[in-house]
Amino acid sequence: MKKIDLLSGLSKRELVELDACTRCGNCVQWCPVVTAREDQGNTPMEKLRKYREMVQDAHGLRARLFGPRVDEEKLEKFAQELYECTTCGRCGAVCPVGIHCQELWVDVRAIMRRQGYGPQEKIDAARDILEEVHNPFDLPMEERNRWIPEGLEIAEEAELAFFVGCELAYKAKEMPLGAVRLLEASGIPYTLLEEEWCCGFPPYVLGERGRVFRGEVEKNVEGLKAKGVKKVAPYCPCCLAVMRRGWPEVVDVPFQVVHLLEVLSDAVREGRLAFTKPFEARVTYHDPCYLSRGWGDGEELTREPREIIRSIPGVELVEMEHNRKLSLCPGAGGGLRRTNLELSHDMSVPVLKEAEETGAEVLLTACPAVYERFKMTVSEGIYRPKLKVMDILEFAAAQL
Amino acid sequence: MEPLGLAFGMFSPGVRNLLYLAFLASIGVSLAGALARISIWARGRDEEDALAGRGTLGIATFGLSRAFSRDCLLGARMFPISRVRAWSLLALVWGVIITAVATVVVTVDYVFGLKLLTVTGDAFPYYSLLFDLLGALLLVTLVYRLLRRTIPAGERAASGRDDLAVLLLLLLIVISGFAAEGNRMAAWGELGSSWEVAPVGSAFGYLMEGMPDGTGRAVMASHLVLTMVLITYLPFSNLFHLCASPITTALSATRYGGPGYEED
Repeated sequence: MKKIDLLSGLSKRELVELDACTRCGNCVQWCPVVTAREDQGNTPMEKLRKYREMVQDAHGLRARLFGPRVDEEKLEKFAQELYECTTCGRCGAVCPVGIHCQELWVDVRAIMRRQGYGPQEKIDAARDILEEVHNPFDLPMEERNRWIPEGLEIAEEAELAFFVGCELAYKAKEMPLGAVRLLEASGIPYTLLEEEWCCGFPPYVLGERGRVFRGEVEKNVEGLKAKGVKKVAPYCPCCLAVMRRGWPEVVDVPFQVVHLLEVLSDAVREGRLAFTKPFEARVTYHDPCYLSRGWGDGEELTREPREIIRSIPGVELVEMEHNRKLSLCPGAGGGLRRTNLELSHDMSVPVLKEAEETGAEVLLTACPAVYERFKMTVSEGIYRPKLKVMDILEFAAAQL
Repeated sequence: MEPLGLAFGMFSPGVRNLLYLAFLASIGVSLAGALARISIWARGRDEEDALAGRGTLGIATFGLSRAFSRDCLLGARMFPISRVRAWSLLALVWGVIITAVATVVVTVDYVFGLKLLTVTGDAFPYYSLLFDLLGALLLVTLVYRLLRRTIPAGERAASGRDDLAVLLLLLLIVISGFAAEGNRMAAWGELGSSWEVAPVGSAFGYLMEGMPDGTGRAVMASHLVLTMVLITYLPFSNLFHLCASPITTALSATRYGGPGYEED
């Protein structure tokens, strides 16, 4: 029988979490995948039960006395189900006993990947693309810096580095353009990596943590070290999450990782960044999953974007019904667009509808994946909201 | 009906010794199971949290120390979610704790002849009433929770066999406990005078009245065996969340964002 290890890589907290579920069912009501799928068989609560039982079959008292007996078919089915999750973390935010499946599933995916279960071909393809072109979109490296406006001088050295990220560099170019305009307006010295590679989030969240992931991380860390950086500020919440959690797993990270909105909101508070053009309209803001619920204790970022929005004259900020830690997940993250695009489509619509219900004219986002997700929902005719979707950087930069 | 002693006291010395042995064995298996399960937790990698560097016993001690929090003992996070569920949780947790402790106390009191709380002691009526009402509360709560698990309603549809088994086992323990107490009252001719101090026990007593000799022993034996099954089954069932959830609750104290949390 194949030797199966279902524990390696999980933290003590995560192993306790497997046993801590009271089966109260609270997570089920809040899981956006369950809502979109109307599937009661693949809830966070059920996934916990299934994995707990398999862990007991492989490592429990009976397994120690009489040998492990893991059903490989069950394991493969579970591994497939594990990828029907955006790792949005809503289940963890509402769990009365504090089980954070968001982090747990990402680590369990790594276990499944190591043992050869789950959507291996899709992950292999994603890994190979990354190894080849250092972005998940299979676009040439030469195109990465095309967003950089003419005349922008990149400092040789600076304490702060703006980490652009693949989605901003290749897809949502309004965002990095807005970011540099805001940084310039704040007078904050900063630098960029001339040869930035992927942050490694796509393979990391899919459970691939081998050579390719390490290579991407090492390349970026070396580049940042060479520029004397003390603080790195990504904008993409996925970059932020993997830098804080995944990078320290493979390299020594000699700098602090903060979110760009933290840098900008500090500048607003200190009076270094001010908006002069009024915007007389009602806007609403969607809290991205990895910002509002964080990936670890004390990592939530909900106050800063609101401070920036409120500092723009004329803007009336109205909240969506589900906001901050309970914000809806539009199905953009966790590798879902790669592993289950149809489900990702379905999940984006309720968020747009909820934004419309606020009566806002503009829906602001702070996540390139969510922004792209909404753009795709509109362009593919899945749903056409009666409001304009904009990124917070693009929006704020236009009011300078 | 044959008047019997309390708990283990109603059995012949041979059966009594066998029950003592079985009881010790159930506690031994339960402890071994619990330690085996906690030793799996100890195999995890260290994070920057309170579990870092702790082994099996260290984690067990940490869990025990965190079980006395407001979130665990008073179900603080459940009230904003659902008051009914929160109260039923409290009734279940406190009902089980108090009736289990009370049973052990009264048994020890009787077996060792201390006469502090036994049926001949002055404090017994108050003790009996509290015990009886808590048992009744537990009975109602268990029926409610079983209905919640069995009647499909949204998130409840995914209840598994383990969820039901634990609740059924608890329900059978409570029912057999009441039946044993009712049988004792019937056999001792106390039914008429016990309404005020044990209304539910008395009701069970009227049901048990006239039952053939040996029924009392059979009922008590069922109660004891079911309790031993629960003790043995605990670390192998989902009920083990009782040991794990105080730890996760403590480690995630600032991350909770569900109904009732206060935003900046």
